[in-house]
Amino acid sequence: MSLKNLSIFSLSVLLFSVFLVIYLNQENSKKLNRIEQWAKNNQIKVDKSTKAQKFTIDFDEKEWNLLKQKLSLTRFFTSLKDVPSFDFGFDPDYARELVEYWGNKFDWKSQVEYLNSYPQFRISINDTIIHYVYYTTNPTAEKRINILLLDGWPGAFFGFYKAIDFMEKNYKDICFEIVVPSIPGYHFSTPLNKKHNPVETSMQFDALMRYLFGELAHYYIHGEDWGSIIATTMPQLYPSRVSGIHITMPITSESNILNNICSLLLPYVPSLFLSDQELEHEFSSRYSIKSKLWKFWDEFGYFHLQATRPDTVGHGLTDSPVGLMAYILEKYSSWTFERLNKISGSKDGGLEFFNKDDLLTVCTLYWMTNSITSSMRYYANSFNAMLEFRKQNLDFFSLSVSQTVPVGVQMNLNDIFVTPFWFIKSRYLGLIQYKIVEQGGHFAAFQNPELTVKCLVDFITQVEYKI
Amino acid sequence: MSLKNLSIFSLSVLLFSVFLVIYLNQENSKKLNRIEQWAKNNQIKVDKSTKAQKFTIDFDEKEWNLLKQKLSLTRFFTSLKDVPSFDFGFDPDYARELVEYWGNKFDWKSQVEYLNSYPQFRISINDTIIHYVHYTTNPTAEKRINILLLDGWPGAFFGFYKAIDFMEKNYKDICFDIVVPSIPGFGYSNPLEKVVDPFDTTLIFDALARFVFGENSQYFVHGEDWGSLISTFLAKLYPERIGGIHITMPPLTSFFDFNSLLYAFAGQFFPNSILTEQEIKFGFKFSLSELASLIIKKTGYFHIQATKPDSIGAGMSDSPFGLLAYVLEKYSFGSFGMNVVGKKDGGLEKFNRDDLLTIITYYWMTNCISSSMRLYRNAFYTLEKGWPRTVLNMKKISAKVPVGVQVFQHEVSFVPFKVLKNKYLNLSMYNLVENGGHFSNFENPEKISNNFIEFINLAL
Repeated sequence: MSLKNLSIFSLSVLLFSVFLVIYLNQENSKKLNRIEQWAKNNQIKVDKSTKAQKFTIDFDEKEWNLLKQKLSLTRFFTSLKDVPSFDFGFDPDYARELVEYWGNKFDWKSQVEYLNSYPQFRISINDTIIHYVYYTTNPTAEKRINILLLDGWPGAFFGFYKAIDFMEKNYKDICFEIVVPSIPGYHFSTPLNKKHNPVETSMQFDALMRYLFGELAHYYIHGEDWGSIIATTMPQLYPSRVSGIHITMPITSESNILNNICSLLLPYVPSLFLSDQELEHEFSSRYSIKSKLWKFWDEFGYFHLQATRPDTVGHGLTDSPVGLMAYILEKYSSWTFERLNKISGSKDGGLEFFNKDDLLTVCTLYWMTNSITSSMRYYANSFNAMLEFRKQNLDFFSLSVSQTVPVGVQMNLNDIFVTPFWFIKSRYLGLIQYKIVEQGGHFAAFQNPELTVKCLVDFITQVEYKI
Repeated sequence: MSLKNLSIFSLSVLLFSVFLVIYLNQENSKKLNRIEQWAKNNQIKVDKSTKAQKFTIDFDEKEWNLLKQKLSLTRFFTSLKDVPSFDFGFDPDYARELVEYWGNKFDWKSQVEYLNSYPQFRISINDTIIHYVHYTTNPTAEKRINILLLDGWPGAFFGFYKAIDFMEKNYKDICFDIVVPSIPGFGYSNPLEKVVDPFDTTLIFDALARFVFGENSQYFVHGEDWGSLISTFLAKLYPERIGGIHITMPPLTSFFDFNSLLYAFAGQFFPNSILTEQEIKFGFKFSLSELASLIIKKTGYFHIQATKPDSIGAGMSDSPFGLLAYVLEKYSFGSFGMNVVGKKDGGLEKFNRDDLLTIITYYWMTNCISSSMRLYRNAFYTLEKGWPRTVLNMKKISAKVPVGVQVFQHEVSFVPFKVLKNKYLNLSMYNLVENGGHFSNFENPEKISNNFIEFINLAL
């Protein structure tokens, strides 16, 4: 394309976009009002009859022995000799090594004690069981902040334990009222025998917060993975109650036409959209449409399958510990480290960075609660729900988040996708903090508890001072 | 995307395509010659030193007991109450029923006898182990026809047994020299510890055909699923020796093929203009949105197998139940389409339960689920080697090779006759069949045999 043609093309696109933006913004606030109204009408009642029960995780010896028995009967397959390890998925040789450890050295009983180190509860909201950790740091401190810590798939609530510990020790002047719920269908938020989607999760988590902190309570949300999506939906539903959201996975919504047009232009005029830091980190190529499509192909097979036929792969993962482990831990590898340098050809896919017991605790938790299939169904349910909501003109997943809600973003460079500030701002109108984490991966708090907490508390402090 | 945007976008694509098609057509015949030449120069040598060994399947009692032990330890999950059966995949309640039967009533020993009812062999070609059945029907008949029967994923070589039996009994005047190879990585074409893609498989299968039938012998090919793709490769590479190819699933290469994209575009706005009357009657559709729907709704398994096969392979190599649910889901949706949603058995009671479990047990005993799924990844992995592997981007087959197409009503993907006519310059037969699905050899052995033989007779 010649420069002249490019200019003409760009100019027409630009003019078209300006009109489009003006039109869309008017539409947007109307739609957000509709959602707020819908949220008020459908608010879940929380009253004296709602009761939470204290919850402690049992060390179930019988189940643990069954798990070990299955591990001892594991059947493996061989790796390809002419392909770098981890190029075709979780390396079978490393799987064998981990299974060895899991069945013979891993101490589940001690891990259960560790899991019980923070107080937990279970409550039934809207006929749905929700398990949550509820902990108060520095109870005598004057400043009180209510905060929801949300993770996603394939995460686990205890992934936040180190972060909670860091928050307690390093911010003695703040009393954090921390709630870590598990999404229905995940871990101890089971059994779940009906459909459930992120909008329902958002409503139930808000009900939980009102149960704990009162009808007029305000709270912050830190969300990773599905937690980011829930954290984006909650301020759409309850803008007056959500003090601010801190997310690692902003969804810029590919149905946003303006964003798409600008993505097309991005590789040609990157400095128009990107900061120096973003340019330095090659955001222009990573956020290009070609790169995103390629990444989607490479890394989203699991997503595609879980969003259409979750039960299909669920059977093997429910019945085979190594199957469950390989499927889940492959994500801890691919979503945390750089593929070319750290994963492809390595013995461990980078996983030796993590504590082996921590990783196996994640797997054992999914195993013991028999929740892998219900956790994967969340994807299919969410997509079906998204289409349903769209029909009702409640387009949660593509509408913006009101300017009145402060947003902080922690952009982890080794995560699957990166999104530049400019593109986030067009959807998260209240974006006030944007931090790039160089060695950061998808499981932010699990991998980098201290850094993640610092980003989070910096954000909260910014918001609190403004007030 | 609004209709307006779609129109603008489509119009530009249309204009661009028209120019491209004109340009590409000129290129095409040059390219075909090039690839035939390449094929001749790169033929795998088959000589006196190449030896095949007779092969019989063992009834491995130890492995069978281990399988039953694992089945007895199966852990299940519950179905969702407010979602129809088979909507989210294989129904957990029905799976439980099948596992019960598999562990307590299924007689693997008898099935092994059945699997051994046709003579089998193993041979090493290009350092790759190939298992194949080689059977000659009516050896005294005068008319001799060499044929290759090719299956795909998740099929099995013995899926063709009923067809072979039918051919022997109903065509007594023809001596069919039949070879049924298993794709490297499938079943007894193992162990496989290097990347072998469909293109490599084509070269290997042709070498096998030359080994069995003779260096310059002509042979016909019937191909289903991956077999359809390999058949098409064979016709492209060796038009002199391939008497004709008969396929049930013409490769859907619309994404690399502007010509068929044009048709899909036309089909978007004028759906009946690109279809024959019969195709319309059968309810087939071909349009951009139909292609999109196919990709989104039906290819989750394809996507993960083509990118991270080892990540799901671990569970299915270790859990017979996982293997059963994953594979039989294909036999359900593949045979009956979306009609299975809401049915407790996913339509599978129509098949013989032992037949289905034999397929699963065969995948289990040969521990080949991972290596078989890798074929999908391999197909994309080797594209970076460039030409001629990029022949996956298939446009035309020489007019020298007749092509017969037999499409069953519930086949997984669909390419209209008008598009095929442009690709297969010698499309001698095009038949649509009611009430059949993807696993044609398994479900409709008589229909495919009759159609195949009719096609051969037309070609000769």
